[in-house]
Amino acid sequence: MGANTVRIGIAEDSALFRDGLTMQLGRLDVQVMITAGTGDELLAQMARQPIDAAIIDVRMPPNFTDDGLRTAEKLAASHPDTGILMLSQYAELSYATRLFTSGTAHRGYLLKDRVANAEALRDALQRVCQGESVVDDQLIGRLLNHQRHLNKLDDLTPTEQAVLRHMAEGRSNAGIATTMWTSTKAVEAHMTRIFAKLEIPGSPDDNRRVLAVLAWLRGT
Amino acid sequence: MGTAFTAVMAGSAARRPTVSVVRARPRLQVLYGVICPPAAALIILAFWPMWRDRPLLALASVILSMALLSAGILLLDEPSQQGSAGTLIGASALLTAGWLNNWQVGPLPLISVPSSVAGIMLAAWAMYTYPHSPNEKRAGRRFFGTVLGILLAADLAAIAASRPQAWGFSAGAWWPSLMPNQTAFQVFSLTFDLVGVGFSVAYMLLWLVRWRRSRGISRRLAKPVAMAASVTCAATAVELVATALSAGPHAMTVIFTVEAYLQIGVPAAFVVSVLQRRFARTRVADLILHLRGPARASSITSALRDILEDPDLEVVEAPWSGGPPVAGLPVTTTAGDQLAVIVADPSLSMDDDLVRAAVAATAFALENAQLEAALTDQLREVHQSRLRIIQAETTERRRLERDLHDGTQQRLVAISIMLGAAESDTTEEPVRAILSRAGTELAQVIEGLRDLAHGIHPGVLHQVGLEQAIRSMAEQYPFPIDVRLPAGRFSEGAELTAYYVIAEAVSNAVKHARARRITITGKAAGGWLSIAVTDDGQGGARADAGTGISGIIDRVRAIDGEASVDSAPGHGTRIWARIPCA
Repeated sequence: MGANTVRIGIAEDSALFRDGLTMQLGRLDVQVMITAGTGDELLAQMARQPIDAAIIDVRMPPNFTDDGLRTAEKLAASHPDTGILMLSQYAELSYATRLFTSGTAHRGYLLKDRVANAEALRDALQRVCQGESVVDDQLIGRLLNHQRHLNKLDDLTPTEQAVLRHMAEGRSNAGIATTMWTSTKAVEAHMTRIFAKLEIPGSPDDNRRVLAVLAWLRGT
Repeated sequence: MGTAFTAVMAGSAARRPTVSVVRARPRLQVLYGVICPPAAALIILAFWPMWRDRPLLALASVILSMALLSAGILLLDEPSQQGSAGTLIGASALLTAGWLNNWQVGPLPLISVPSSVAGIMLAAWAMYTYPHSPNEKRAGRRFFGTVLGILLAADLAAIAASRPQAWGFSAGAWWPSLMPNQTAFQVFSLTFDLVGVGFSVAYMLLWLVRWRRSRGISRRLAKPVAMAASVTCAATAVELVATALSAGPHAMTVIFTVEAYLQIGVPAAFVVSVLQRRFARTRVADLILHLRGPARASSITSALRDILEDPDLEVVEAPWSGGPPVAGLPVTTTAGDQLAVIVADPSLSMDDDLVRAAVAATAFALENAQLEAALTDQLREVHQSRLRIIQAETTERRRLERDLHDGTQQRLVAISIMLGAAESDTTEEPVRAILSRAGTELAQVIEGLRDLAHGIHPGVLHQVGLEQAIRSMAEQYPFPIDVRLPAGRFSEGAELTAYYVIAEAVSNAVKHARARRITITGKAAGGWLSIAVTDDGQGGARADAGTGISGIIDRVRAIDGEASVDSAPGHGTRIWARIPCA
């Protein structure tokens, strides 16, 4: 991140978790500009204090239901270039699906306890700031292991399987190419084959493909 | 009007032990079978000589005696009619004996004279007291007794003052002619006839009074007997006048014959009345049984008014404070609790069998309605309390999950971050190893706690809906779970119940049935959400009390749904539920 230190806003009602997160972020060389107890507080402070990415808890006051998701939707509408990282206690992919419905760029969904892993947190923040999507890789791993898909996944080469996994995690073509030490062109070729083999509706180039891949993985 | 009536009913209540004794008597058919053949033989024997010269009179007399006997036996089976029954049977015997003079031998002609009088008086008494009127009985008995005494005395005096020829008997008949005297004989005979005619007139007047007093169903039920009484009374008066005027033997035979045929109307009237009475009692029971809707005082009142032909009848239902508001027949439960009082016309007391049937039917209907209402209340209360228990449990689970989510889980994640920070900050390898191990352990604890909290209450259900929540739940398992649920949203209670049913069924299939394939299906239609979880496991799941399956079945039933488990050993398990979701 270097010279351009990433500015972060946090919306999280648990003080202890908030402090832990702030500490972790401090170690990642990012700057926590806003710490808010509710989504509305975050949005209010953002009017005075610009940030590059917001970390938002799904379940917060006042309703303790999907307040964080609503905050994310408002934020995405008012600040389309600000990264959004949703944190959820429960592995609930439909939250991610909902988050991506109005657009996939700059948005990510992580399990809460993943922030204990500094590397995973840094990677996720970087990606949402750069305009990629993020889906918790543990969740994707579990979906891929779900036996329903094993027969179909057997048709994919190990490389294609890895590409599929990265797509599901929301990585861009360039991101996948970097991670896999290969060229963007090669990645695109893999993708086309994956979409054909798995009969996933939609296009491998579509920026909404993370939704299509998730839907396929969930069997919906 | 109720006071006299109540007193009457108290009297009839006191007679109840008799009724219960009567229940032990042999069946009516047996009585007919045992009594009728010998009686018929005796009666035919008594009238034997008459068949030759006066066959019409003989036929009428035989029929009359048999009919009186049969009517008496029929009455034996009627509630509180045993007195009338005995009187009729006695009248039959005495009237038969009254014709023993056909045999002009020994004491038979002598026996016939008082028997005839006593037989007629008994028949008159039987009619007068039917069905029964205890108040009039006492005074009536004195009157009837006195008249019978005078008539018997006149007869005996006439016998003593005559020879058998004077009565048309053969000279050989046994006869206590103490002091034969033509004048005295005529005086005594005339006295007998005049007292007889006087009694006939008085008897008809008594009937007239009683007729005027009666009303409604009492009058209708008394009608056949009243008519028979009037007709026979008139016939008897004619006979006595003819005797007094010394009519010839031929004329007397005609009179006797016509009289005998008319008298057959008496037993016939009793039979008709008994049948009418039985029909009326059946209607009482029937109408109460077929009351529309739950029995209320008003509906019973109108039913009883109709049957008992008493437009002023009133059923006043309990509860009341400080005793019933009106005097009337008490209607009580089998346990003796007051249900109501029936206020009816006092003339109904004549027909206390009907009244008793009405009271019993009313008690039955009201007690039934009370029990039904109590049962309905209890069921509703049980249902509501079950619902409250389920709701309380749901609230508690929600609170527990929230506490875990907002408290413990957050803290553990914060600690996990700190451990991670400490691990990367330290340069001492042994400390780093310990911190790393602690971090791994803690991650497992957090995951376990998350599963636990989610099991206690699916916090995401409300946000994502049943289909998505079940899909996420299914994704936790490393084997195929086919989810085919409707994507729509349902009421919170329905979604939660369906979720618990499915979660329990899946958990059961995984933990106990060792299933390799699970299918979750659902359909919403007509305000009902039907769900089914089918697995290919070993089956044998049971919904015994205390199991998780019985818990979810209870939960479904508490919100008026249905649930069942089909789990034959070796054939997999299918858990099915139908949940109201409107």
